[in-house]
Amino acid sequence: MSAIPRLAAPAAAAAALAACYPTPHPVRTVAGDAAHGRTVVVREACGSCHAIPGLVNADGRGGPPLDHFAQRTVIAGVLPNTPAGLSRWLSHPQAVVPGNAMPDMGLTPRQVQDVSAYLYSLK
Amino acid sequence: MKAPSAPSGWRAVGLAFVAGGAAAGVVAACGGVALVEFGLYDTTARTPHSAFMEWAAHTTYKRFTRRTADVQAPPAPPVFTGAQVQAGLQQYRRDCVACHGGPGVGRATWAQGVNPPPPYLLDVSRRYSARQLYFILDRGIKMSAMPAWGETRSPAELWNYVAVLENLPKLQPSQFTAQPPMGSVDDPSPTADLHR
Repeated sequence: MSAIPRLAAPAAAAAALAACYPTPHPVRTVAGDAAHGRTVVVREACGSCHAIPGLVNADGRGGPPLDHFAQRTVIAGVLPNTPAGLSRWLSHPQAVVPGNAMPDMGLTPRQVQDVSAYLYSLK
Repeated sequence: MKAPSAPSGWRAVGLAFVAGGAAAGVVAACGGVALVEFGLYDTTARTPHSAFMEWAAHTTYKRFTRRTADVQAPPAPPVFTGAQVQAGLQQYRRDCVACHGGPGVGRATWAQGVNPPPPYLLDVSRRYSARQLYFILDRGIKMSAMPAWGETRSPAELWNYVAVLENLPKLQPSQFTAQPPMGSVDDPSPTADLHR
């Protein structure tokens, strides 16, 4: 008796399970200009509250660090880390969690897109 | 008559080194003067600093402040009273929120165009001691939009700013937006704060 017929049944079961449970990781890419997003992040002084790798003087401890942001699963403890969730958070954090320490910064939709692209470049 | 001979051996190397160094120094100085006199450096606020300039400017400022404040600023009071925090909050709304925002409160939109960007101050009491904060508020920062508040505010008022900065994480956004700051563009009284 060869190994192949003995492995066929478990392999078929695994394939069937994978079809029922597709990968849980959302796609975190945004069609934006990450380089411009970085400029916006510097100009908006995000680093005064958040530690951001690769930015000089971005060493704030007021909010959570943003290293490996592309791998984070939850934003602000309440939103899923998806492009839609991130866009909602960056546009109006005070609407998502009223009274939280992160202000509404008046970012334009274009700026939100570019900042999202930059944040998702932090793998 | 015998011709003078050139210096030999290590003396020659030493002289060449010094001469080369001096020549390089002259070239560097000429380059520096040219940069200034011909305006060869981008001084606009809109263009971000290079990473080198960012590091050089900010590190110099941090180190100078930490080194000098402990000598030149008065020692901080052991505790700040509630009255000082309240007074500081009123002063903050008038003088600070436009550039620095507050917890949950954004800066004025034009603050996007200020370079170096004025930071949010939520964790500033972690970075600097009360005495260092007093020093920064009193003396301001060259080549930035941070005024030397000591020019126009009393020492008691300066400590009021420090009192509110030390308590920022405990304050609510509504406390920063309850009324338009005096002297701001939203202040209905046109001459507020003009004659301090």
